[in-house]
Amino acid sequence: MKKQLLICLVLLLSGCVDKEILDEINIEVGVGYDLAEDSKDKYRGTVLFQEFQPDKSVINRTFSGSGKLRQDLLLDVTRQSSEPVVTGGLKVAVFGPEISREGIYDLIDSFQRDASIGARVFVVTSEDKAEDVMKGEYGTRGNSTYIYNLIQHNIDHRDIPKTNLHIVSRDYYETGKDTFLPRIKKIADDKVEIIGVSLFDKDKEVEILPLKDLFFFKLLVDKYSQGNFDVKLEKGNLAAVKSIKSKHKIKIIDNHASININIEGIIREYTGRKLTSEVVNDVEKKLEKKVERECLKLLKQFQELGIDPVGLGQIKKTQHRKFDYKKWEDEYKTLEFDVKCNVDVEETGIIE
Amino acid sequence: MKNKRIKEDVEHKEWEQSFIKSKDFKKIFYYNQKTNVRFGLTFMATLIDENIIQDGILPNLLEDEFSEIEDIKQLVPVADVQICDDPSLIEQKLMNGYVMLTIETELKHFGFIAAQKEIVRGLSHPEVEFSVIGPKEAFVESMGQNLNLIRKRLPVKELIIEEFTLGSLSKTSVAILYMENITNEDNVNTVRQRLKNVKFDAITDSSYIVQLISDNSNSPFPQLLDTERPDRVAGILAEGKIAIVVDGSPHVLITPTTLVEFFSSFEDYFLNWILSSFFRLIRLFAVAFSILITPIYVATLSYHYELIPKDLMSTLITSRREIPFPPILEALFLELTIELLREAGARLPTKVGQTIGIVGGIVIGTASVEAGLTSNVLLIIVALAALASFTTPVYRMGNTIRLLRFPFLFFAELWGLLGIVFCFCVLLTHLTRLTSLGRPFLEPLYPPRVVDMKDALIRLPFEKQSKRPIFLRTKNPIRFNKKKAKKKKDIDE
Repeated sequence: MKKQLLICLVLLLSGCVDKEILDEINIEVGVGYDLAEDSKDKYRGTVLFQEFQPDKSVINRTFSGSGKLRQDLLLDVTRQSSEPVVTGGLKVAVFGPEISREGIYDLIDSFQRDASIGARVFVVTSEDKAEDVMKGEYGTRGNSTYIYNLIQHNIDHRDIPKTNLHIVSRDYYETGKDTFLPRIKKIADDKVEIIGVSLFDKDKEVEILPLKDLFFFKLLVDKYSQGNFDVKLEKGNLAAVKSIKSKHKIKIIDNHASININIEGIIREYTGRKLTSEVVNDVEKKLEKKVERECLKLLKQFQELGIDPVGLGQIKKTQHRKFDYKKWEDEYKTLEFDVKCNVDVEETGIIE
Repeated sequence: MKNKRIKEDVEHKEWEQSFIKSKDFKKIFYYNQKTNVRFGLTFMATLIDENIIQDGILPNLLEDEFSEIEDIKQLVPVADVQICDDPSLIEQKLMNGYVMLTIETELKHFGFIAAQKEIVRGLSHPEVEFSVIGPKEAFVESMGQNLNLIRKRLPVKELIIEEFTLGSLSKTSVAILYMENITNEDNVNTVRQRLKNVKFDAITDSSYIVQLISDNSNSPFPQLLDTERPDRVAGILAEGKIAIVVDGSPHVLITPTTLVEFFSSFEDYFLNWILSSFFRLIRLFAVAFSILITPIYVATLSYHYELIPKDLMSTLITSRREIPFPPILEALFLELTIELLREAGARLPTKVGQTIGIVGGIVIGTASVEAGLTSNVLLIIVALAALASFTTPVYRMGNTIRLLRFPFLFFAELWGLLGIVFCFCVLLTHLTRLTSLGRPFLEPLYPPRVVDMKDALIRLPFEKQSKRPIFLRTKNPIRFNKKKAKKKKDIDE
């Protein structure tokens, strides 16, 4: 009897799972959102699909739709697609300039609620309309892979701090921390580049950090494993510090935040005559001074904007038992900073 | 003359009637030249070595002085000569290759002289459990020969050989071997009892015994290990396990066993422990791979496209683009093709089998991909899975592994990865419940026995193997003194 019941269950329950056979679905790999021109709708979304050719090349196909909710957009797109549209392959979500200033969290929240969307989706903002970014032809492996890899390797080796859907929504919900997103720009029909980082107050974009500040920004919010920075010395000489590893330590006592940044690196290029230990010391000093100055400038700038992408409030919360967020908001406006940087050049290449 | 003879043998008539129909039943009468006593020799010609009768029995019985049955013990130069007066033994003795001697003066007594014809195949290389290193002897069909191979490797009086006769028709001799001072008495008793309870008329091979005495006959897993290597049998006897030798079978059974033993080849003991541990782990990986990879392919492609890495997506989609079937049909088609190839290869002579392999592997595989019936990714997966299933050192277990794939496939199609997990749970439940001779089959994994891990998934060096497996509950759990064994002394120390 028990066995028969089990067999019945097997047969009855088997109807409950939806089948999504890989080659019979349209997998959404990228999406771009803009504000709708028609005031009735809220968003205009552009969904990117990949179509694989027999020779394994990829054709980018985009469908656009508009609506008040993300679901409306998907319904619009399904009407145009020959196969059912599924969202589990999403890699990149791009937000256009107006919508970023208007607020993006409703859409990010809907990503979070969709169980088939992973946590490692990159959320970025764009200088041009997101639809135009989606409609380019970048690389040979498809637009979404191109943008995804572009951001990934810049996080791994260059100046973009670590970010993804999970980190973005954590930063959004955390008291005492504000969100930031990488910002991209389409510069030609087959080229797209990173132009900076968008800083958010809650879910509204308030400022764009240019490329030149990103090195210092990453020192403050993330740790480096393979950075790169050029130091100007006297007489117009230049030294390139490579393989930078950095760590920061932030301590907030009373109304004073002391930030310690530790940098280790290797000098790989030097335009002067001889790289003596005095020169190395000089490089270390110069870099320390520069980091201290620029980081302080950035922190002051955040303070003026009333945003906290470094997460000072959150750090204070972890260090103080009786943390009151209401009070902190006022305290932040008058918070004093001091930045201390310690640079250690470990190596100067294989020749003296 | 003829009438008179039948009259004299009236007492034997009943059993003789049943024999006389057989062409090989022989009964011949002679007169001793000195005492003129008339005696008869009765035997089954097909079981008898005629040379023994001609050279060893007849000349002595005819020429020397011989008047009563007791005399044959002195006269006949054969070691096994018995005298008895129980007519019920006659049939059994004749069928075991004895020559029966009767004298007209002593109808109550019979002499039996052993004269069996021993046809023994020469020793050959082990074919299923071949190893590059180590002894190259394998068991043959003759029990005497097999016992000799084992006894030679364990020349101690503690090695006990007990013999049973099983099968109402086949009268197969079955011997159980164990070390008296090591093996747990309970285990031996269980084997004895199981063998005594066997009710089957014709036992022609040890495989029958495996199926008849294993704890759970409905399990796809073999619960007795069969081996054709005498060195392996000697090895496990020293560990405290029991061997069952069946006459007429070149495979000796080992019990109690554990699951991991089916994935260890005896060659593991001939190699350095690092190498053999590595090979064992590879084999276990191969088993898991072989069972799971095709179901995972089906589950992922049917239900979980999210799990596919973005770089692999294009390969999978392009390879499946032209395929008209859903993944499950495609997978079943290829799995069945491989099973057909294996079955056809096994039934055909070696030379033809190779051709089939080439035809199947290359022609059918390539052609079905080109015709757009199967995707080439799946072809690689199925071929690798089949290859992996052949790494199992015990043939019987290899078959089980290949069978297990199909329920997994079925549930993968039904419920995706959830189905695979469900199926795995059922399998695990079954394995934890399984016993071999009442001892847990999944030991040392479950119940966890850390001491026995020394020779399970990995094999530690011999110095670390100072204790016998504890799940056997041996009488003497210590193999050697570990402290003394540790030192490797130079000669001048």
